[in-house]
Amino acid sequence: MSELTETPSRSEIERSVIEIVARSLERPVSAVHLNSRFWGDLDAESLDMLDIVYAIEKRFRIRMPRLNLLTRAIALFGEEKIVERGVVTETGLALMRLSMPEVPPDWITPGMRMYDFRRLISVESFVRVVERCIASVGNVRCDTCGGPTRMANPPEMALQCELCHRILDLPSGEQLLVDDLKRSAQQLNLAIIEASAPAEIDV
Amino acid sequence: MSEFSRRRVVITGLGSVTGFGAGVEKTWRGVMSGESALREYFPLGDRSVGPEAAGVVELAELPPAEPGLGRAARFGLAAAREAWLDAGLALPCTEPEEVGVCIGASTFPVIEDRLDRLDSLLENGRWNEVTYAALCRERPRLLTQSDSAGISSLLSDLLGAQGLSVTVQAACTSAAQAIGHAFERLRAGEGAILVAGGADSMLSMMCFTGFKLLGSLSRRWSSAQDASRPFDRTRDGFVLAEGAAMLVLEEMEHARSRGARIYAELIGYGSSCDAFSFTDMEPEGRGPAQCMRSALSDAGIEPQCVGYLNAHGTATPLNDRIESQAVRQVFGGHAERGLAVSSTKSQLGHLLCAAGAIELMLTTLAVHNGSLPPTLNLKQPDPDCDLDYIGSAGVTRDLEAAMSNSFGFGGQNGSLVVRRWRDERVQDGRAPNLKSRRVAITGVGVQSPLGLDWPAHCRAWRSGDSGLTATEAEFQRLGVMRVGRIRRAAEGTGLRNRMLRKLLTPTAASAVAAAGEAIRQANLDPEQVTSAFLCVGSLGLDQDLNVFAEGLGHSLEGERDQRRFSYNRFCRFGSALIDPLFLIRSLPNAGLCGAAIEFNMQGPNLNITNGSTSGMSAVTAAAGTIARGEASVAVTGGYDSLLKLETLLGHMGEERIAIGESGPGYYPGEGAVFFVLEDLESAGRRGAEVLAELTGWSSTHSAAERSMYGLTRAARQCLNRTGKAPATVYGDGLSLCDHDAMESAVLRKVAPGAEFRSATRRLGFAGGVTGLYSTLHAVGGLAHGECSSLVWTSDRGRNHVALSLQRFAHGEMTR
Repeated sequence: MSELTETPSRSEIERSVIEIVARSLERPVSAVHLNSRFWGDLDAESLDMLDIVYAIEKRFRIRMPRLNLLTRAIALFGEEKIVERGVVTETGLALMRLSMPEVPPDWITPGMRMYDFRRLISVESFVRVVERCIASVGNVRCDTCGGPTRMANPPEMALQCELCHRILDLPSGEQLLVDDLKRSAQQLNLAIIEASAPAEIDV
Repeated sequence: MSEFSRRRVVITGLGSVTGFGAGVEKTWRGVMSGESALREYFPLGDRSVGPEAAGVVELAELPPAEPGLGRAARFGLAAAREAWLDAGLALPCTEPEEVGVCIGASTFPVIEDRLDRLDSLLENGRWNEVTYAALCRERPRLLTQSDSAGISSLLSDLLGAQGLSVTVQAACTSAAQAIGHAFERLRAGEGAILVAGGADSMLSMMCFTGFKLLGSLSRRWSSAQDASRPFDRTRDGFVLAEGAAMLVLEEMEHARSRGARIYAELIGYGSSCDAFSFTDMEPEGRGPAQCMRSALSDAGIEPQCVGYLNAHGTATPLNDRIESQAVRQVFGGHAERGLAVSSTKSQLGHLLCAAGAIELMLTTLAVHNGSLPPTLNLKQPDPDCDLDYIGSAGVTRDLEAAMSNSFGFGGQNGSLVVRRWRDERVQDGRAPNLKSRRVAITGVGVQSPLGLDWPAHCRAWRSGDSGLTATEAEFQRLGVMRVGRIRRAAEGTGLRNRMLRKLLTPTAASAVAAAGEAIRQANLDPEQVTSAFLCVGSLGLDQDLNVFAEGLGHSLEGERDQRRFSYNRFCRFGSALIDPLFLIRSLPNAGLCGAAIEFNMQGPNLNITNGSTSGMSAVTAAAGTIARGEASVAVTGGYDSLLKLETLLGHMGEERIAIGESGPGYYPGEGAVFFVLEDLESAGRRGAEVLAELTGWSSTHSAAERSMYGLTRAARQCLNRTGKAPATVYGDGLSLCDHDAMESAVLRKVAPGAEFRSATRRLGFAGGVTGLYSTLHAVGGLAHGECSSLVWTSDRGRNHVALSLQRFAHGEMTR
């Protein structure tokens, strides 16, 4: 696998994610495209997703979100707004379209059930999350002295303040989901019922 | 074994240990009053992270135990003692040969007792073999505290039982499978009483980590009591719990003749395999539905007779939806009118390998008392889960029959059916005798240090090759100079299923390959493979400790050489470096489920982990199933490897491994051997080549100091069935004075003129596969003109298994 630069470009991220996906799913790199869907195009299973996320997190030293967008949206906006008898509401569909611009709009169709969400996830969905996780890592300041941070070693999956050397957690990818949803909610005039930060995903 | 009867089996004693406390009364009262046994729990006691929600047993509730005994073993002993005394039986038992044990229990990664020495145990991202070995010598219980095979043996010792002693590992279906297997053997006349159930305690740091990495545990809860929400829209995973439950299963006439109180009659067992995926359930619920149908058919009752279902109901989004769907398929309209459903995991959490036992115990009490347990936290019904669930109050209702479901990682499913006991229903207690079927071996498959299939193995064996090779540097540092390692093909395992290629350890992959070879050699139809009984004896834990090394290394803090493990640091940074699939990869039932997935085997199944008798125990279980006509084809065998650091150190700690070039003891080995067993008549009808006939089989247990008696009894029971003296006896041949002397003495007693052979010197000792290597060579010998042979294996003087085989001439088919 090719080496990464310190702050990888979009194309480097794309190449690395495709390599990881291809290796995990035992496919040639040429058979994995940005618009390949994990379920449907690549025949992935749920265990593959854990494997791929693990490899991506180690490769880029980031923490990706674990909960899916709809589950998080239910916590933020209330279940009745997002799902009705297992079927995603119009509001839920609209939230998905706004929060997942990489998904072609005609994939998000009325009548979709909660557990169909995973069918929308493509390689590009992962690339987009990785890109934003990397950006959020770059923005972390020390919570004690306010100094800039860099990757720690050891421990590997952590940051270290360049000034006071305090070890800090990598930013949780869950916050990215919340930010996406809040931004989309503004456009849809959707009220937030859970103002608190997302529950920590501890492992 | 020319005849057997189909006797009735009743439940006469119950015992349990759960988060509610020790004793059935506490658990039943807690469950029926709608309380929760779950609480906040801090693994390692470190309150800097967490808490977790868990069903934790207070050890103060239990009688004192010998130091170092694992938690699951303590729970199992307490529950078994309670059940036995509840049945009104004397302790120790008065009919030792008529009493046995069959339980589900797990072997799981424990790291806790190593954490204080972690800095010296880890070196360059790996475990240092030498310092690890020193720690194991200092703390001898380190490697045995989660030894599940030992638990059934402890229970047999407690009861003074000398019959069957089996530990089953089929993930969350373990206890249901153990009880179902015990039921089948007792029904067919093997003994009078079997204590069946499960014991588990997977609340270790690495178990929490493993299940969390898989996303299996509930994460959204404000109090632990709310965390387990089966069938609720907001459910998001299960809650880990520990404990044990044991049921005394007794042959009905035996129970009636001694005036025993009967809780209920056990009337049906169903088993199936999804043959789909390790963790994803088949979307239509095919496996669970097949398993429930099979249990009803075995019970001989209509679905409408079942008034209560204790569901598997884990509270994972997938299980509850698919289980509900499968229940609807099986029970049809009755699922809406008359079948009350609850999940007691809402109160007790998930007892994993003991879940099926505690849930069958509650189901039995529901039938006995006419009170149905509630489901807690079911406040917002999920439209995808549309059964008649019992809410938080419980229900009073007279029942005719009830069912308990268990489904596990890997796709193994088990359902058990109990019926209300009515004495007036007994008309003629004597079950009619049925004719046993003859058992043929029609397929063989092997992966050994001598070859990757049977022809290659045989060629190398005949030419006198040794399977032993020089060891790698890490074993040499321990003084182990030779190993019997399978020389695997560089191009990979050859498995068709991509997920199996990804997940299976080399040892489990060998098991699948050997099973495939046996199936091909037997030339079975696809339908025969799909419905075959799959019965495997596996290793206890297929774990490469090094998967934790990097994560644990990054969890150390402090100055060099004085670094200490920090749980806070592990949770924040270290755990992210651990392979999230490690728990799945280490599953002891991975070989069985891998074979099921690779060859689309959806039939009944059983996974036994009985130490070094695992493989032969599986073959005897499969042979019995064929003989009783419960299956016409069985794919059976086992796999094991001593070539893992902790396993090897366990054997070294007992001074069983040869150190240097010529020390006493054996060299460690590995392997996988499988057979296809068939009803001889149907094999003949389809023109299959019969490689040998299995004429006898027997499993016994003895206290360690009475091993000669235990093995003699197993061998004699086997030979009594055939009435022929064997020309050859294949045994362990461990190059250990005591074991060798014991084998010689038994040989003189049971087969004085026979030649003794063992493959251990050339293949190494491969744990549960050593007896299978012997069986393989016995089959080879019969093919080359020998008339009959006896095979035995004995595990540390506790479990003893024997098989007798004879050459089969096709002219004999009409006999």
